[in-house]
Amino acid sequence: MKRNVRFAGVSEPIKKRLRLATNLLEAYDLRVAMQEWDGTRCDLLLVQDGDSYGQHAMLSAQRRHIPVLVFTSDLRPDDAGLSWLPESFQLPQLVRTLARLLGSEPSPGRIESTGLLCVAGDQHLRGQNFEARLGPHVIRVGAESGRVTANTLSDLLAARERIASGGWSFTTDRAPGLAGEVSSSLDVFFIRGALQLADELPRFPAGLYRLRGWPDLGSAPDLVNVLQLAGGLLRRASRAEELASRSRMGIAEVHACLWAFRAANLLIAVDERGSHLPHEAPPAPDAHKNGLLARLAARFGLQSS
Amino acid sequence: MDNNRLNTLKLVIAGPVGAGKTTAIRSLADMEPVSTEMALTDGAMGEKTTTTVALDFSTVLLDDGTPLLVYGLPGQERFDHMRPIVISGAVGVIVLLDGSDAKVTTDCEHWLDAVRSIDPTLPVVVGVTKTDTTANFHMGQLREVVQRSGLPIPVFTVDARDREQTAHLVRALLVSLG
Repeated sequence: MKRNVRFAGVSEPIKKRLRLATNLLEAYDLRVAMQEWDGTRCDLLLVQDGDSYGQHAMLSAQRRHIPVLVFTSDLRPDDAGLSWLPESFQLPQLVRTLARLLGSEPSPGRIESTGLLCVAGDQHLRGQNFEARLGPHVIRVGAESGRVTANTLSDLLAARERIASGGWSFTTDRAPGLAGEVSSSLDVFFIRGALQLADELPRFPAGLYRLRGWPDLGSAPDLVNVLQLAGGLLRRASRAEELASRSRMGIAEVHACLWAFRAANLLIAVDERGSHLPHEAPPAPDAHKNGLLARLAARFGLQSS
Repeated sequence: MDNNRLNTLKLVIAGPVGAGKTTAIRSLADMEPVSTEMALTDGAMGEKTTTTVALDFSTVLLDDGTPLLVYGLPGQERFDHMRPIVISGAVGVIVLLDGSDAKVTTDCEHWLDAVRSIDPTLPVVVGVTKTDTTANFHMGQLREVVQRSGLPIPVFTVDARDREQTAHLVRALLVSLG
């Protein structure tokens, strides 16, 4: 099948290399039609950072959940649906990146760019109320209420099981939530859904992250590890590997939690200088009190990490 | 500090009338709480016909027999003189709020201020009940109130009747202690 790749606002030298890359992609069994952006649906959009037309095209593509590759002098970690490549890229590097983004290179896991877990954390839906539909299943995500509602428990569970699948459609103009419907904590919905698929999800983009606030975990008392993970991410910005080594969670579960925190609009990427948080820590209890608190923690099923 | 205080731990559950403080203590504790409940003078609030007028008290025994003393504060403002007495020496406070009450945000601000005015360093966790019975509950507004306090206070929606969910508030309090 021919893949449609569009570019917008890129320089002439980059266009030349794109044409070369188009031929080289055949080595990956990819047939690519590379053309100027015309506003129609495509498989991938390429833009150059700082170009206003490219920026306009990028926003338009993101609204339609079309993946975007940005050529930039200010490299950033890949985000869901948004990838970065240095403007000074080498041709093989471009070809490999295009092959990966067009789905021809095996990746450690799959998360559909149109999946609920991915889209809920994207800029245009982040923090908004919206209705999400996958086949016959409809849920309403209430970012303000912190709850997700559905007409039936079956809809809610089906949506949770397919949280990373493609094919979702989203509407932002319908008010979510009515009393009497089946509802759940939005944060717990994302966390349980992501953990259920932990082995299938790709690694979260590398970087230092922290939480802007506690996820609402009250209705998930079985998720003690997630509680401790969240506590750690509130105290100190961390990388996934550090979190896994400090917690009793596997690396795949940590990455799943990061995807879920992002979808719940709780995750913040920070630079190295921001790894320590400005929050005033509670005063450290004295040694005797510490011993009592450790016993209290054990009584409530918390193990020291 | 007397020996008794050295070997005990105290947890306080605070919040407005009808949030479920007595219910939370009942679900959390090892024994039926000692309560000072009286009939509501203004008539019943739905299924609620009584209210705590002094305090609720019960215990949770740790594995070595050390008791965790669990106190429930009365919600009415006329008993605000009880707060410093009961909160003194506590390891933390669970502020329990009624999510179906239109005043939940104001209540949250009020009770966080009340705790802070007694001990600004005391760890606090906020539990919100009855959020599944109303379309008007806004978690975002509560989070804003909590963020203004400058500390990362957990805000959890819970069912106070559920022992595990109430216990999870205690866990969150302990995790937030670091």
